[in-house]
Amino acid sequence: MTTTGAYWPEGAPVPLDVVNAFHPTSDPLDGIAKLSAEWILQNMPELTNIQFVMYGPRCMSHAIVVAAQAVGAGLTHTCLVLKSWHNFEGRYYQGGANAQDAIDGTSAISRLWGTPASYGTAVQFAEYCRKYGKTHDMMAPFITNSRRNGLLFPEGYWAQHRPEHLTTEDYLAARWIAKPANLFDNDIPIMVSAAYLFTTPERAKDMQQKPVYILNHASSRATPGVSRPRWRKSRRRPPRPGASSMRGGDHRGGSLL
Amino acid sequence: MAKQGVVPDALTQPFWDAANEGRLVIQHCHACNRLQHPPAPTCQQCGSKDHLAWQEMSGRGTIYNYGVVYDCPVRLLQQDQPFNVAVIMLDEDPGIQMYLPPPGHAGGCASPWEPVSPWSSRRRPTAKRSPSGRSSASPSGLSRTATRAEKGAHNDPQHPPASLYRTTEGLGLWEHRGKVAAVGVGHSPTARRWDGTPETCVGAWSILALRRAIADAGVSPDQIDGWSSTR
Repeated sequence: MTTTGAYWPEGAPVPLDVVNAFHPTSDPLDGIAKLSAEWILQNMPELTNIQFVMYGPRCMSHAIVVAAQAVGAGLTHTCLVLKSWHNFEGRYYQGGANAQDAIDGTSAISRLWGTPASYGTAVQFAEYCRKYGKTHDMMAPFITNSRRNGLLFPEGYWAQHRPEHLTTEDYLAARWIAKPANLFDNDIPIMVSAAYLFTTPERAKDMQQKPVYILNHASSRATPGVSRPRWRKSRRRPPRPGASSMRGGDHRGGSLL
Repeated sequence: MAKQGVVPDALTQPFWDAANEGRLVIQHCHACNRLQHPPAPTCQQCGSKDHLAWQEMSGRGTIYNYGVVYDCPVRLLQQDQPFNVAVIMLDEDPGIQMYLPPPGHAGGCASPWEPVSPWSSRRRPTAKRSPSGRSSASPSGLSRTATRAEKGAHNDPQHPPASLYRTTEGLGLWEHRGKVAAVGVGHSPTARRWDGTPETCVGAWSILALRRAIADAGVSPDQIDGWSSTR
């Protein structure tokens, strides 16, 4: 339901001119700091026949997987896929509940140790390195080439705003975020939306683009677990406008070490 | 290492109460004979809330892996950067993971697969105390069937059913190979940050991207019957 992005700035008023420019939902920050299907359907009256709605967790790849499986399983025959990112002032994921002295017990179970967003991927990568005898610096050719490819994508942020190549030296000198993931192993917070349309081969014949068929997909987990924090609903909930996220409690003496 | 205090809610009160007593308890579904963590109001496999109970664990586990946090989003922890955070698999069910700073300096913690005790008495979080039940039932022989109930799960848009993911090795051919086609794409412009105008908010740019994808495919909007996005 939410897009990926920064928290709504602490204490900032809800921009009513923006809210009132659209058909809002019950959450005034819907369409600004989050994006629900309900908001989209209220503001795209031409979508009159949506029967299937599903949210994948967090990443674009999950939304694509959900849509591909749903079309393949016959749950929908023509499915829109959307991933949006938003970014406000301040730093990614800082502020909000992360700036408070206490958090609620459900959030604390997975968030108590303040792992950055890339931590899960970093742990996966660490496991890969350990298993196959690889090291972080071996990623340099891949990362620099990824930037090169990104600059070939005219719709992308780097091509539009920062047409800079990345060197191996840049990559290796970057500061760590969650070792073994450094700054360039992380994404850059931006504003953007990307949408795709999936359908069945039968219906694709009547559409104007040559269809691109999805042949397979796979998912991964940082650990061989059955339970992951990503299922939790409250993880990125922005604070309600005007409401304090301070819930009391005392962090003194709260160290687990 | 100062950290955020914990304000237990109704769901997690027993977990934190036990933690204050130096015990680790995990939700257990008697119907499925399965542990689940983080706790949830219902069993994520069978949907039952009547068969859930807290079960005490040995408190022992194995470090699966770890990362070193250098850029922590939590304000109170930033003064202690960098610090290790390990993923620890419980002895009772390696599928249950706990996140804890392991022994050792940053970047040099205990070796992977080294047994540790993640819930030793010196690692108690702060939480309100209250009486809690203490189960002595053995967790051995627990079912480890993965994730969420598939039956009817697609009716809950917040929780895609487990069947939508392919998370095991040796997947082979996808059962829907060649049966799903991407036929349209649309992008919004990009910007580093929102400029505060209605025209560039994430909702407006999403509408723009969606309409571009629809136009790219050449499909009538009323033919679209599905929606997938992220939460």
